[in-house]
Amino acid sequence: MRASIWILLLLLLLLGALLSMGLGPQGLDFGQVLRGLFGGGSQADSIIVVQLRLPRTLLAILIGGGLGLTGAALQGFLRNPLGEPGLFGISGAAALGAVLAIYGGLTSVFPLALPLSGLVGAGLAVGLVLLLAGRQASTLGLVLAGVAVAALSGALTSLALNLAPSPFAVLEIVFWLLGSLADRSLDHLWLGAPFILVGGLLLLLLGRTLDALSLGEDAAQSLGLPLGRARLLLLAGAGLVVGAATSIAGAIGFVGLVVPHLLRRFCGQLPSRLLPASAAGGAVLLLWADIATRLFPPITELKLGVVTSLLGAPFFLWLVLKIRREAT
Amino acid sequence: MNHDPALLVAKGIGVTLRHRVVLVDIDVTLRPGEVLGLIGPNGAGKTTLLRALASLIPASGSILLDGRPLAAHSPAERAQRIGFLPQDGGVAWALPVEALVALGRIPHTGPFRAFNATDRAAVAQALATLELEPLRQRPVTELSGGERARALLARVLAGEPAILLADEPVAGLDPAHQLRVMHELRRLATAGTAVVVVLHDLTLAARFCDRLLLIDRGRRLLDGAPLEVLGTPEAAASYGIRLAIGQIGGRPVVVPEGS
Repeated sequence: MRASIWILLLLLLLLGALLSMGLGPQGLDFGQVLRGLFGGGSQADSIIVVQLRLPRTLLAILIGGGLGLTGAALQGFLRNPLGEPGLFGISGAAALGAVLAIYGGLTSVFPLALPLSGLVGAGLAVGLVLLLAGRQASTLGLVLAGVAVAALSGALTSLALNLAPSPFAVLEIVFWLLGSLADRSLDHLWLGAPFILVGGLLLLLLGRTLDALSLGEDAAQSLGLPLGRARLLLLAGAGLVVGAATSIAGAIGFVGLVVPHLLRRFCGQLPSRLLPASAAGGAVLLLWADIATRLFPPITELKLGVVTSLLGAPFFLWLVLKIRREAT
Repeated sequence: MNHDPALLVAKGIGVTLRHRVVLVDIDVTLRPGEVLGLIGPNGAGKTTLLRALASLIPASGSILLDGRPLAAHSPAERAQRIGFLPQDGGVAWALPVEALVALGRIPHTGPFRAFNATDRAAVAQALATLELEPLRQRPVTELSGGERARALLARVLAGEPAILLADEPVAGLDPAHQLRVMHELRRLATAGTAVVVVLHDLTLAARFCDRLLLIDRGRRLLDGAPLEVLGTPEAAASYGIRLAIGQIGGRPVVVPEGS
């Protein structure tokens, strides 16, 4: 059962990656994509594939994987299936940072100012949560501090919209907030990948602690796993992953919430096994959602955050109904 | 009287939580083969004492485990020696019973020490001891309260601790399961484990414990053989009731009376 779900996820990933690199104004078949990647095709195809579509595809995989992984880690840590990457206010603060960069006109001078300023926002959010919750933070204290930071960043983002100099600026900000991977370059990839990979690694280190936490905080500590260190690891890992993901792609909801739910049963309910599985599942979901944004291009490309929410919300509804049926 | 060398010696334990003094000057000595019952009214500090002994909260005074200060042991070393069964037995996910019990091996495994044959044997042994084999694949969320209590106890047994700290392990269980759990604690002590158990059922305390430690408002009131402790006026007074002690079929019975 477990092996077959991994094979399915990897197949979907491979197929999605090829499809994603073939899809666009200049349609390419699988052969052209492969020749563009590995040489042997036309130079134009190679430029399109390597410089335009490869970064987009790899970013979808990295960001989706990071969000899935973070969701699984947060759900395990909070012992609650409603944990999701937006929880500590990291994504809200990263979005605020990015919005301020657009608002201040920095992006027109220097394109990478947007993700960089998002990363600064995420870093400040993690610092603020730690400061608010205190050194001996309880899990509840951490969540409440996160809610406060999320509310503050949301309010400041609204203020920026409110005070925006022109309707065009508002439109630009709102569109950016909806999330997208369109027109992301290799520069974005080089900027985001290290943060997401290092953060993901930190989260993967939490496996044993999350398993022990199934039994509650006291039991986990009595099993020799200090929770203070785990909290820092979680916050740092989530900060790096979600901060970088939001800075590059905007706010993308539901991936981190839905994917762990989908895969938990295939992982024997064990949080440690769910972590890598959710990374793979998140990558698949976001990759195919990004493909979907390009499949229906009547006038304008659909925004990625819109598609994940459109896919995620009905699924979540179905899940709620299913849980209710099982409970009765 | 038990003259085995002590596994754990705690002297002058004090705990202050959020500026409130919860425990003052408690001495505890745990020896292999002995079941120590912790009794006292609600809020007396019994759970706090267990948590202090398990090093879950900071405490003043000295705690020696195997002759060395508790703080000098690494968390993993400490966890290998001391098993803790919390009262709140909530399990977050629908883990199958076998996976739940396997969590008890965490102190023995690690990043550089994978789950091996020894661990599998310990898990199998714990499942067999508590007759959980037929329920191995059952999600813990689908168990009855008694089955769940057995599974959680098996989780601690799988860690093969030298010291077992159990916080109200029989709370909410039917009489058959209460006896089941108490017999299991007794059997563990016979096999050389030092057991500390928090109890509110004084008949069970009198029947299954070698010693009782009575705590009231964070202080040690009495410490000694069960019937001696329960027979004192202080014991009844700490609960604010009278205690009638008799015998049925050669076993002590403690009946709370009045209010």
